[in-house]
Amino acid sequence: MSRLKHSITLYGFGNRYVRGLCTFEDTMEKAKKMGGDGIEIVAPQMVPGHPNPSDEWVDYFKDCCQKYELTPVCYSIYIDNGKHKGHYLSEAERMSDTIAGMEFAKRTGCSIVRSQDPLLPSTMEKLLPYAQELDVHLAIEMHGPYTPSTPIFQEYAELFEKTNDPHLGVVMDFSSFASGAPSNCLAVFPDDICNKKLLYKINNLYATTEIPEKDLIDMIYEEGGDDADVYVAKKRIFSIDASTARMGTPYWRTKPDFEGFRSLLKYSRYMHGKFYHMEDDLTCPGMDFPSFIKIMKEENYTGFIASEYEGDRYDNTVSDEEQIRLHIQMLDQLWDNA
Amino acid sequence: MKTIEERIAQVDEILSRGGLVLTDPLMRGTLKNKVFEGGACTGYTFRLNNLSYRGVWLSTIEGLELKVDGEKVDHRDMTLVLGNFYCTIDELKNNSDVFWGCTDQCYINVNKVGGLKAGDHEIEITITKRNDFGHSYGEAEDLEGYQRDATELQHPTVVRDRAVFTI
Repeated sequence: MSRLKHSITLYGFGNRYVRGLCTFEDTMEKAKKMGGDGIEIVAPQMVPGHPNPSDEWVDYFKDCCQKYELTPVCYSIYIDNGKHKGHYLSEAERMSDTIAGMEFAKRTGCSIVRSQDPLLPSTMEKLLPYAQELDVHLAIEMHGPYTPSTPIFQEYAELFEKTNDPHLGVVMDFSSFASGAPSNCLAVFPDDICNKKLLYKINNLYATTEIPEKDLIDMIYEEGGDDADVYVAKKRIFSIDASTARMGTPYWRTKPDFEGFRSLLKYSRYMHGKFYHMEDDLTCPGMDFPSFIKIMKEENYTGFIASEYEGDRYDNTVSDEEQIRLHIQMLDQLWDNA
Repeated sequence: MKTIEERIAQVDEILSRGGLVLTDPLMRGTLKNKVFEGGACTGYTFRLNNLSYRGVWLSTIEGLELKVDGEKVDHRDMTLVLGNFYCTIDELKNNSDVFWGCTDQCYINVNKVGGLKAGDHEIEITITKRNDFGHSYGEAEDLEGYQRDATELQHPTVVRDRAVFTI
């Protein structure tokens, strides 16, 4: 039986790495121990000398991959449209930055380059000959609040269909399909600020039912909550407005776009299995992994899935290693039973 | 027992932290006088923590204000030092090709004859920074600027940090 291929995105250790609490090699060692087959590196974060790393660094990176028996899978780059005050990057900049990223990916042995939606479909099309020449898969990350039905991703899907070339594709981040807020979304608040027990119950109902928000608010008051509890629920549990969201993630409750996920799978070789909190019983509230894994198996997905941990945004006292280990265990179990 | 208003204010305070900034900008314990042979002293330096989990382009720093012991430091007396690069605070915006990697050492250098006296000093920094990237997009060829809804690029984040250092 085929096995799911696991990637660990070293980004998951970024918080500790940036603070100088671990070295690059420590992150590789951890990735291997947690059960990673391969790794993703966020170039501006962990590649010294970015955007022009040295030959020495490339050699060091490849030696590390060999030492820890990890496949270099994904080299992640950005479209830094904030670089110049008042105007976006020009197409020449977007192209040259992305070509350089693909060249470094090739040199490091990564077969996939993850870029971002502001690359634009028309520019991506012009990059196809470079992706073909280097034989790398250039993929756009689809991240919440965007979903398969967001206009820019429909344009990307049209490009993938038109070119029908394995060198172009999409990296779907599961934040695009989040049902609700993570099960530790209130961890950051001291106990005397809100009624956490009640609000976690509301959080669970929000993600697993379609009870209207106003009824959930009534429930908070009926069960002893007050205006501060409702304020926390509005800020932390109920969805942000998807139509105006820029960087945040709206919650789709019981209706994530599973069919959109399925339709983009054929253009996908890598995905971000984004998660915020794993429970010890191998469940991940707020993210419907069983449904995604079932679709991936039905569609014979052969690419990698990255266990992308972002729970430190909600609670940085939790062990990231343990969280990723549990996530991989959950994915394997779901895959075997799907 | 806190009032509802106090609890709501605390929620706002907690949620206002974070964003793309992972750490407090002032790296604790790094304030030093610039002392030379014979005891000459031309000012002081301290280190900054990186402002993003993935490093930043210096040009995205739209403002940097510094107060030491309550007194504002003139921009003309300050430079930002990053490896073998340095520039004045007012020139940061023009350095759109200098990348501050998240583990690169970055200093604020303040020129002041005699430096700071031995003892405790309160440093307060206010940094105004726009995002390096986002999900707004467009073509730059016509240089007509960001589209109106590119809020993440048009509304910089203001980060404040204050700490007491000992020399």
